[in-house]
This record gives sequence, structure tokens and C-alpha cells, in this order.
Amino acid sequence: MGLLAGKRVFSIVALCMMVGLLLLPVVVALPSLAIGEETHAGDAAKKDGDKIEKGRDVYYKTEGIVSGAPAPKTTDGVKDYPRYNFESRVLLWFANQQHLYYGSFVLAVPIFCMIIEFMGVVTKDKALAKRYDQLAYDFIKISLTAYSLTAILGGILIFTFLTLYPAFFSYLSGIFRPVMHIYALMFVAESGTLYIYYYGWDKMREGFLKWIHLSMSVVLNVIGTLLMFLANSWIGFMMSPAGVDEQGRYLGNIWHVIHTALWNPLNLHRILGNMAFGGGVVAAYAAYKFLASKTDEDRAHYDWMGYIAMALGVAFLIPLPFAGYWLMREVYAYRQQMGITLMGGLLAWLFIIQATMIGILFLCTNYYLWQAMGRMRGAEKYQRYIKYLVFLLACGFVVFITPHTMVMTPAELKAMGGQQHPVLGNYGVMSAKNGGINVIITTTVLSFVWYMRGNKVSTVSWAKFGNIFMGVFFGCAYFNIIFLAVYGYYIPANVRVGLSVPQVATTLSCLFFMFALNSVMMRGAKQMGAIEWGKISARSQYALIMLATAFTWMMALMGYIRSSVRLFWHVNEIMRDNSPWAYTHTVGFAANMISANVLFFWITILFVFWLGSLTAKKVPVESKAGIPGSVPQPAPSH
Amino acid sequence: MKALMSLGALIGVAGLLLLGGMTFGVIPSTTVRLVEGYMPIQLLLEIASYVIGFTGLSYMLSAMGMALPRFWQGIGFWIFLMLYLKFRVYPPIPFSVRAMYGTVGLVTVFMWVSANEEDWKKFKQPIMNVLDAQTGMNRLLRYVYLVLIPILIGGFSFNAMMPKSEEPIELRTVHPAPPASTKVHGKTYTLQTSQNPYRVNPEGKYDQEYSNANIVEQGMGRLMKPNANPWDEKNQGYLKYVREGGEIFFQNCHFCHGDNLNGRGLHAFAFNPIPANFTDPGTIAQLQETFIFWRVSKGGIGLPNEGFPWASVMPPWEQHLTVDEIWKVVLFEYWHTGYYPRTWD
Amino acid sequence: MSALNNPVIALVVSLIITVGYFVLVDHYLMDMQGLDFWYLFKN
Repeated sequence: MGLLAGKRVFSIVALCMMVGLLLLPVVVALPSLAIGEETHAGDAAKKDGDKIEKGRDVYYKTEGIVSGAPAPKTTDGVKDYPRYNFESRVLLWFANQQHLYYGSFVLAVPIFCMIIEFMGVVTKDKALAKRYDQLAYDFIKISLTAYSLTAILGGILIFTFLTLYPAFFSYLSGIFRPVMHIYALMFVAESGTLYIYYYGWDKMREGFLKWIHLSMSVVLNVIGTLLMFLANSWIGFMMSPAGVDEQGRYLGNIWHVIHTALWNPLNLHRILGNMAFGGGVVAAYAAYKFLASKTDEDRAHYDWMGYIAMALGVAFLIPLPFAGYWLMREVYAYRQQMGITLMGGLLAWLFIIQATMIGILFLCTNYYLWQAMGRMRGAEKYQRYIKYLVFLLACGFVVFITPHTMVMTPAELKAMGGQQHPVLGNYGVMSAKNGGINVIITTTVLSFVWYMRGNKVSTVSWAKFGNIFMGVFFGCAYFNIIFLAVYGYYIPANVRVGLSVPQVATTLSCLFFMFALNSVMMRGAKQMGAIEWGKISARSQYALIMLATAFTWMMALMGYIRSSVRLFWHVNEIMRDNSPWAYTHTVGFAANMISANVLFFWITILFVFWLGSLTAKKVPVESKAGIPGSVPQPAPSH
Repeated sequence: MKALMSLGALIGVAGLLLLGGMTFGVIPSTTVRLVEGYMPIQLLLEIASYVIGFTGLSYMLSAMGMALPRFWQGIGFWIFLMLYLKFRVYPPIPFSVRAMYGTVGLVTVFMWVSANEEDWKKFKQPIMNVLDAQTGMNRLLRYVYLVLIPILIGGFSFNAMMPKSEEPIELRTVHPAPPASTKVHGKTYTLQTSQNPYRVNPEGKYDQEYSNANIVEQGMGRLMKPNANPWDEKNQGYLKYVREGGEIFFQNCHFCHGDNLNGRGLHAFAFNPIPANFTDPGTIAQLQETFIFWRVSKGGIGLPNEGFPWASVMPPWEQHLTVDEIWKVVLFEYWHTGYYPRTWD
Repeated sequence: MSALNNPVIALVVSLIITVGYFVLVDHYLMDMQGLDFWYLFKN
């Protein structure tokens, strides 16, 4: 016992030392950040003979000592915008998007691993626990190459900035100097943690060391998330600058520069988006392997893997529209003009495309769940109600994608009697669209609940009441959402905007309460038939691939929108873009670029997966032990 | 159950007869009125009734032994949807929107018929029969499709490529983003922060709540509030400014924007785009007052390119009116239509 | 407990709980934002 306790103490100490060493550079750098700028400015002021210039922060309106150069006034030419015989902006766009794709992927996968490894530790079913653990290990293995690709693409991105936009980048890096150094140091921390996490997996398999291993996954995710937050501060600054005066001179407060108006909405939106995207990519990988499988065992394994990846991705997809809505609200509150450019003006059609893609995402999710119910013996009782879910989804989708400004010929315009259609024009405004998307999400929740109780019959004493309660709850939820959507038309805009919060709360109530109630009702439930993993239709796997493609396309679309909303500014209202490409691309060109980015990403990620599978062939038979031949069902609580 | 389903079947048959009549021009689309104020939900409820009707119909038919194959159900529903959108909804929906709706309809019909394996097999059966062509009828059909489909594709391509004499489609942004500031008569106004100097309470301070309490009542007839009559000579302050704005409006604006501010003025239909309808909830009701101030001052030629400044005949009123007159006209417009200007608090 | 399983009673009880919950949610969340939920009906 003494030896065991000693080992525990040693492992804890080792973990703390490791974390401490990795974060040491950050901790040491922090005080100098706070002090360094002021003393430097103070020195400079003393040299100038006590001429301390003060400036007012454009956003926080506080006063600060000017301690940086003003934003450069660039001119079109080789000094500020050196170029190839090609539009520099497109090159930068490409490098940026690929880096973002891979960055998002490597941030999402460790979160998956953390969740799945945790499920493997707490699951009581031993065989299932082993499968979860193996799955988490497989995820990390196939994505290992992605980490180096992310770093490579980041390097390419920085080089592109340096060589094609030197004036802008020197300005930005001048302000964000400490942030960029910390960013680089955190890469060291992340790599260190990742390698110990991955290579130490087998050694830290049992007992207390397993908990240490799990803690490492948490540390890995914290570092990854912080990395993203730091990168978000740069784009937040470009969109909604703070911490500088109107000339762009840094005022000494690094926190103001980081914590701009849009920083936190971006942070939240990007965490959720990364997870949804990562889930989609892994699910598509599983779908492909399923379709290419030659044995029933393989098919069962990849069916299960696809389900888990999809479930995790969709779990983070559900709050994503709300995070996006918060982001838009903050954009509108910061600069009404920017908000109108986004959704009412130049970029409005891109938002209609986004609405279409969101609808596709939810439609694919629902479709996959119905197919998944098809492989549950005993779930037949839900089949005939699926057409009503289809109808609800279709109505919500149709309302969601109706544009406010319609594409029409002048003859159609005359027939309509005006620019707005008296009926459909009402679908074109936010009040209806919030209702539409909430109906879609609630229907997705309903599909999920049906899936989770598909082949079971509740045996609790209050089962009938429980079923009726769930039906009434969903019905009232739909009614409440639609009522709020209609009510919004009769009240002024500033009150209507607030209605989205109760609508969201209604949808999320369905999610949390109905899932919880369902789990309680399904305790000790009678199972009518087995889940036949591997017997799912091929169409469902195509739905998963469609899901991943839609996620990828949407990410590039929204990234393009985020960038173009700055119009002819490098840094909004501070540093003007005087390059020859300070215009907004046509929607068609943007769509083509986005598709090219998506295609390139998928080709390269397939290469990454192939590399991962090369090592898989050398792994001994031990990995097959996890695949049960006789117990294909996951734990009842899932 | 049977009673419910037969009721549903009845609804379905009645609905189909109505739609058939509208499709073939026997009865006008306005026969079943789209009620003002309920139209968007009415549309969805009508389609929901049709779905219930079809469920009832298909139940009754299969009870009578004449079940409609899933294949024809799917295609039939999609055709119904396209006919409904084209012939029932008035005024006519633009083709681009119907194309979007039709695509969504197609996708969701596919999701319905392929939701489980049996249904999918049943759906595919007629297609497989024709492709396999085991019977004489199917063989004939296969040959017919072999000839017909290329002709159809050729026809569509020809139609798409044929030069037409219609005007091309325009994609005008109805509400372009306003500039951050605008200079009218030598003074610069920041649109985010400027306020209407005439929207004041009796103490002379800017007060939206006071002015909002004195606008006309929305609803039947847009009646004046009892003690808020701008034409009562005793009234000072806000109501007096509304009257002055009204005088300016009827001297300058009502010719296009209509005496009831609904965009149906004398000259309205001579222009494309037609003058804005201020009573529509999509115009001044959802815009800030400074936006309207900008639009009135700078007119159509002051629009950014995305707003098609070459197409709009809205005069730049700064050339004819003073700043005060413009503010008063905007004040009057909000009073008369019973809307509040959009705010951020 | 078995009384609850009676469909009619279950329906009524569920409706009361659910409608009450949603009304509370709507009101509280609008109040929290400083907005007036009953705006239209007050006028």
C-alpha cells in the first residue's frame, strides 16, 4: 500500500511539474506585459522632455498614454502591397481558410477524445468501456498528422502576411507582440502535452494513472482553447478595434486590445463550430470506412463510430445558431452599419445561402436518425409518424430560406405589385425565421428522443403519464415558438429582438428536460429488440458525408462573410485598405472560392486519414478485442 | 379512427377540387381569401390541412383495397405542392422562389419515401420495373423514356439559351447600409446618434415615449388618439410639428407615396421601383429615424450602387427643403402610420 | 399514482404544468432583458 500511495503522489507531482514547466513561460511573461509597456512609454516620454501624449480608446473611451505608432496610411504599390501577378487577397484567403480548417479539426478532436475517454472510464459495461477507450485512441491516432499540418499551414499563413501585406502585418504584430509570443509558446505546451498524452496512452491505462491521463486531456483542451481565444483576439480587433485611439495608436492596455466587443461572441461561436465541424469530419470518415467495409464486424464498428461522432457533433450544433445570433446582435450593437451590411445589404444573399446550409444540416441529422431507427428491432412503431416530422422540418426550412428581397423579373415584379410579396415577404424577416429554425431544432430533438427510446418500452409505474407529458411538452413547445414568432410582428423592433430569448429557452427546455425525463423513464426498460449495428442503410452514410460537406462549406462561407464585412478596411475605421483589391467579390466568385477550399481540404484530410491507417495495419490483434461479437448494444443510458 | 380518417379524406377531396379549379382557371385564386394579417400562418395551415387530407385519403383508399403506391404518392405530393404555389397563392410568387421551394419539396419528399427500407423498396419498385422491362408495357415505357428524356433535356437547354426580349433580372438591395454620417446643408449628421429635434415632449426634451403615445392607433382605420389631434390649433410642440410635417408631405410627397402613405400615389405605377409603402411593416417601421432622414435628404441618387441609384426617382429633397422641414416630414410619416422608429434601447 | 396514468387526468395535469412553465419562461426572460412582454395587450 505504501508503494501504491508513493506512486500516486509521484504521478501527481510529475503532472503538476509538467504543467508548470509548460506554462512557465506564460506566467513569467505576464507581469512584464502589464509593466513593460508603460515603463517603455514612460522612458520614451522622458526622452521627449516630459511630453506624454494621451489618447482616447475608440471603444472603451478610457484615456491612455500613447505608446505605439499610428496605423500606417498605405498606398497601392510594391512598398505596402508587394504582389505576384495574382490577387494577393485570394492567396491569403486560401492560406487562412486551410489553416482554420485544420486548426478547428485539431481543437475538436481532443475534446472528443476527452469525452469518449471519460465515458470509457465511467461506463460499467467492461467490454463497452474498452471500446470507448479504443475509439478515443483511434481518433487521436488518425488526427496526429493533422497537428503538423496545422502548424505548417500557420507558417504558410504568416509568410503570406509578411510578404504580401507587410505594412498591415507589421502594424498588427506591433500591437499584438506579447500575444503572438504567448501564442507561439503555447504551441510548445500543446505539443508537449499531446505527445505525452498520445504515446503514454498504453502506459497509463489502469487505475490512478488513467485519471492522470484524463486530466492531461483536459489540460490539452484548455491549452487548445486558449490558443483559439488568442487568435480570435486578432480578428476581433480587425472587426471591432479597441485599445487604440482613432489614429490607431496603442494606448498601453493589452487587455483592452484583446477583449474587443466581438471577442467573446467569436470565442463561443468558434468553440461550438469547431466541435460541430470536427464531429462531422470524423463521422464522414466513419461513413466512408463503413461503405468500404468487407466484414460485418467492421461495418458494426464503423456504424457505431459514425453514430458517436455524429451525436457529439450535433450536440454542439444545436446551440450553435443561438451563439451565432448573439454574435450578430453584438455586431449590430457595435456598429449598426456593419450589421446592415451583413444581413440587410451587400452580404445578405450569403446569409440566405447560410440558411439553406443550416437547413440541410438539420435535415441530414434527422434523416440519419430515422435510418438509425431502422436498424433497431422494435422501433417500427415510430416509422409512420416520420412523415409528420418531415412536414414540420419542411415548413421550418421553407420559412427559414425565404429571402426578403426576391430575385424576379420586372414582369413578376409588376404582377406582385411591389418589391415585397404580401404573403412571403413576411417569411423574409427575422421574426419568422427564428420561429422556423427553432421548429427545426425542436424536431431534431424529438427525432433524437425517439431514437433513444426506439426499441424500448418503459416499465416505470408512471409510464403512461410520462409519455403523455412528453407529448404535451413538445406540443406546447411548438405552439409557444410559433406564437412568439407571430407575436413579433405586432410589436416594435427593439422588443421583438428580445423574443428570440424565450424561443431559444423553449427549444433548449425541450432538449434538457425531455432528454432527462426520457433517461429516467428508460431505466430498466424492456427492450423489444436489439440494435443491429452495421445493418444501417447506405443512404444514412451518405447523409453523414453530406453533413460533413455542409459543415465544411458553411465554415468557409461564414469566414468569408466575417472578412468581407470590413469592406475597405484592414482594421475597421482605423486602417484603410488601399490595395487594388479593396472591393467585395461577387457572390458567384466567393462561392467558387469556397468550394475550391472545401475540395482542397477534403483531399488533404483524406491523405491524413490514409497516413493514419498506414500505422493501423502494424498494430497487433489487441485492438480487435474491443469489438464484441455477442454484445453489440451500447449501455442503456446512451 | 375510421371516422377521423374519413373526415380527413373529405377535407382532402374538397381541397383537391378547389386546387384543380384554380389550376385550370375555372375559379380564381381569390376564391379562398388569404386573410390580411394572418396570411403567412394561413398558408402553412392550409398546407397542413392538405397533408391531413391526403393522410385520410390514402387511409380510406387502402381500406377500400385501392391503395395508391408510394411512388405515385411521392410524385403526386410534389406536383400538388408546385400547383399550390403557382395557382393558389396570390399575387404570383416569383419563379426563383418557387424553384427554391420546389427543390426543398423534392428533398423532403425523398426523405419521406426513403425513411425506412420497406418504403424505399416500394418506392423504387415502379422504376425498377420499367428499367428491367420484363413485361410488354414496361418495355414500351422504357423506349418512350429513351426517346422522351433527351428531347425534354434538349428542349430545356434550348429554352434556357434562347435570347429573350424580357428585361434581365435585377437584384436591388432594398435597404442598403446607410453611411456613417451624412452632410445636409453644410452640417454633418452622424446617423447612429442623431435625433429628430422635433420629437419632443412639452418640456422640449427629446422623448420617444411621449411621441409614441400620441401617434395614431394601428388597426382598423388608423384612428387618431382622442386628445392628440395635430389639426387642433391649440396644440403646441410635437403635435404642431406633426401638422407642419403633414403640410409639407401633402405639398411634396403624397403624389408618389399616396395620400394614405401606402405607396399608391398618383404617379406610383409610372416608376420602377415603385414608391415605398410606409404602412408596410418592412419599411419605416423597422428603420431608424436617421435612416429615413438620410434617404429623404439624399434621394435616389444618394443611394450606394447596390441600391440602384440610377433606377430610383426619389428626389434629393435637400435641394428643395430645409433640414427642419425634412425632420418634420419624417415625424409626420411616423405619426400617420402609427409606427415607432427603431431604437436600440 | 395510478390516477395519474388515466389519460384524461394525465393530459390535464401535463397541460397545466407545461403551459405554466412556458408562460413563466416567456415572462421571466423578457423581464430579465428589461422588455415588456405584454406590450401589445397593454396598449
